Amino acid sequence: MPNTALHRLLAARDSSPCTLICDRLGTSALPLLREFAACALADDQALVLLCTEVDPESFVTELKPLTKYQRSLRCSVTIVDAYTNPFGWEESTGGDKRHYHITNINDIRHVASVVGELVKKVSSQRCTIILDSLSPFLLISSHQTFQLFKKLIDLTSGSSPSPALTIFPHQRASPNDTHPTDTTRLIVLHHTDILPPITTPLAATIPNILASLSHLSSATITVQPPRTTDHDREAQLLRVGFVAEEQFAYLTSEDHRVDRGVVVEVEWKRKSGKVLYETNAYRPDKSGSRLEVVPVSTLLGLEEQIERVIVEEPTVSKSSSRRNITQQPDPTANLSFNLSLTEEQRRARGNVVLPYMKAQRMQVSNLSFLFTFRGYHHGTILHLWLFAFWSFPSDALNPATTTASGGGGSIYYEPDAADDFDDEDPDDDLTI
Amino acid sequence: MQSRIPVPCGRSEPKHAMGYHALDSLLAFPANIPPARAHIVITDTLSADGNFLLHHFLSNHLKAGPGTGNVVLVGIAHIFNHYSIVGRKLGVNLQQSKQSHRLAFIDALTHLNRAPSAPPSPPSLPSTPSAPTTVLTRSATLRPLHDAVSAALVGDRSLLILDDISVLLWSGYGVAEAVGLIRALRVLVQKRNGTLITLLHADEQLASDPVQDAFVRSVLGMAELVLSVQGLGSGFSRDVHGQVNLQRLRIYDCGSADAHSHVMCFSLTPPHSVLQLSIIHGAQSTIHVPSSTAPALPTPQTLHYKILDNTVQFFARGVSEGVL
Repeated sequence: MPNTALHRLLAARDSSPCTLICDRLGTSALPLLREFAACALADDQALVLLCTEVDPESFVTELKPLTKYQRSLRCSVTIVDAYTNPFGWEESTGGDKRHYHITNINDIRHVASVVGELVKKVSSQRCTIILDSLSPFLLISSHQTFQLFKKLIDLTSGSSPSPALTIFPHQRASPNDTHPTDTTRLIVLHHTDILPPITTPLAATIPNILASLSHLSSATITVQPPRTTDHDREAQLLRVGFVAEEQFAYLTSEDHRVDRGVVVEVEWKRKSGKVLYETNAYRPDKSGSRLEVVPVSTLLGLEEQIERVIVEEPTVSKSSSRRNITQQPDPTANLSFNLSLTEEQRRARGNVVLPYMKAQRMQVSNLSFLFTFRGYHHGTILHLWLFAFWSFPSDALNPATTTASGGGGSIYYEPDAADDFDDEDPDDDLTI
Repeated sequence: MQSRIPVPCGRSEPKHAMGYHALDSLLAFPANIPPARAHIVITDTLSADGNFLLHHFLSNHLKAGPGTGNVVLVGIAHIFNHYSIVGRKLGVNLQQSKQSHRLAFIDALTHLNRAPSAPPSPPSLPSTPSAPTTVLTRSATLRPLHDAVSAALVGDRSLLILDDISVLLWSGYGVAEAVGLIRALRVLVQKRNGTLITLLHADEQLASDPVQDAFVRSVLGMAELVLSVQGLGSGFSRDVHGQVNLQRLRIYDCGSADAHSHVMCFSLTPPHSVLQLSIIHGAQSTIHVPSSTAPALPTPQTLHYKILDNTVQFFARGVSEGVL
């Protein structure tokens, strides 16, 4: 589905400097992250991978069969490996010199500076930075993780890095960036249910980390399992009046079923200021290696239900052919009274004289010159009428014969016997 | 923490009794060896003990062919004698395996918490795997344990069993350190194409503690396969004659760790109860594209089981002989 928000984010068709993907235990967004990487490589973008929870080598190996370009995969993928040896307990064994190994994950500032330097080296082409999970950083320190996130956002779309940490402003793309899509974009995975433990009283006062991250992100994608209606459960509830309570479990055998697809909710803050909310879905394609974006109804089986309804409807007769045969029910059907009109009734309805119609058709010849002024507010018609009272013959001001304007929204004033027109200024006696 | 171990009542075991055949056919691992580069997390609760799964994997691997590496068993909740006794009942001689270097045992329990009466012995890395080793002694970091495991792993396709990692958290180590250790051990095992099996406790009562909850969720997020055992939601299927004691355990200072107070519960599961086993694919399994290199995992399903004398009986939900 090419026009959905999810597809446009994957293909980088519209600008989104920072995309935050939120998942929970039971529905992993790792396939979506892999899909973002595959789309970036297919689009000939450089990829900077900051891995904390997934082995970067196996991640890149999984990407190999998904990309069809000729150039070597290794040239366009730079790895910042905070997974293999995050505490420096292992001796560093050489390895690929282009990849940077983090040996002290507790120094989060250093991680940010490493990523910044690597991104600067690939500044000549479009670049996608993928951060596989903030959770290991969050367990170390919330506020340092937030600073890391902020510094990574500063790298996106050529915006100038802020000299000091500011909590509130959402960094927009610089005015010099005229490219319709981003030069550098950031995609971050966040596990919303792994909350950093509060170790100090001060930590309890900082804002919720998800709120802080989504405030800075231009797009937030939340993944959820497809919720199917449990017919058996509803049927049991109707029959016996109760259902068994769900037993507590962190994971059930229904979790991480990739083949069933995933529903995503996208919140996208556009550059124009408009916020777009969409619910999309994805599932593995026929080969099982890529993802295809599908309508939500396909995932939940609603499409099948609609098809069933069409099959069960009686054959359409000629008299009802004029009725709109869609999935929406006809409100005029199955009523004990008649809501339709016969031809005679239609004609009679067309001939009904509405009030004030005559007055609307009256000519404006006496007052027309007053209405040549532009930007005229209808509320001043009364004042003009009053002016006209002194300027024009009285018969011209008969409400039955005069009219206010030729357009809609006119005011028709009929003075009562008790009305008294006084042209004296009521505020004359004020001494302010 | 006491646990119910399936023990035969005075009958002679068959010579090659190993593991549980019903579980072997359920998991359907090739050659009954867990897949390479996989992290299997076993979660259990107070009402259902997951130790039988550990013994199953342990005995299967010890009896495996020469193509597999050794087994490293890290005892954080039990001492070696415990495993030795249970293994003997199941037909596996752990003492002999240790002497033949097929099994390496790392004792991480003995000096885990500071005992004021006994002077702590200096930490010593194992020179020979035959002697019980003490690796965690008033240590602020978990590095000594990591180094001991690294030295003990031998060969390709080895098996590392951690029993159990919740004790690390209860002993005062922080969440970041404990999770970091599991991640580092996972990397260690993956480099050797081995398998990591961890046991942790995932009770509902512990979920209300944010530290425990973050720890369980972090570890579950690292798994390729999760085997979750728990009691039935409706309670035990026999007359309950267990006893539950709640005890507040004050954790002593372990260096940099904060002093948390945790609730530790003791419980006895009535024998021959029907319990529930769930086989669940982990988050890390979703990253693999379907290919020959992806680990072969069993089908996700939920079953009921009953542990008998030295066998385990599986049946579909609601069809045990007590019900039908």
